[in-house]
Amino acid sequence: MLSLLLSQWRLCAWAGLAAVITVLAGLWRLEAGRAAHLQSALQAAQAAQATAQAQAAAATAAGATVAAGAARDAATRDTHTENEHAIQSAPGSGQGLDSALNDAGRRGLCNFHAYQSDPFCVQLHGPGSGQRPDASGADASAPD
Amino acid sequence: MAPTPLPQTDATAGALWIALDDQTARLDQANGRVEDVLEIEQRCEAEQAKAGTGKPGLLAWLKF
Repeated sequence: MLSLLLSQWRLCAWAGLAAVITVLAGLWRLEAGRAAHLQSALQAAQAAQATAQAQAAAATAAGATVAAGAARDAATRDTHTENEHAIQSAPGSGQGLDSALNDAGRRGLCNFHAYQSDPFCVQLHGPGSGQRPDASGADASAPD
Repeated sequence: MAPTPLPQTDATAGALWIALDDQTARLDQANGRVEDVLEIEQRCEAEQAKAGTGKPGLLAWLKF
């Protein structure tokens, strides 16, 4: 009888121990999962913060580059204005050129894409003709 | 960037030199735009690389 009771007590003890271990393992697993979730959230937040800082730094740098570009453009225009005045005041600046020379130059420029919308070039080649450079400046569609 | 206006049919020698000068100024500006864009793009890539979170560690799979 005593042996049976002892056996049952041992069985209960083992079962209790197993239950305690199971509960502890479950709690530990739960806590580990929560810690992993928190770590993942922290990493995501850190990544978002790093991205935001990088975007801000890049935007600041881009702004500085654009500002420097605007200043450079202004300096370039100033240089051109100075050059223009110097050319206008130079001897021979007002000297006329042969109209055939000017015509050849204008026709030549019309062969470039940059001048495809110029009224003279449109009249010369027609709209959207897509003419390419022609060393002779001659054009089949040009009015004689 | 738009080109220098086409010189007039009665353009003088000075007018042609001025047009050439203006075209060169516009070329400088256009080239500057390209350099600026490249600079911005490179800076952006550098910042992006600096902000990279990196690859997961070798033992990352051991995390519970």
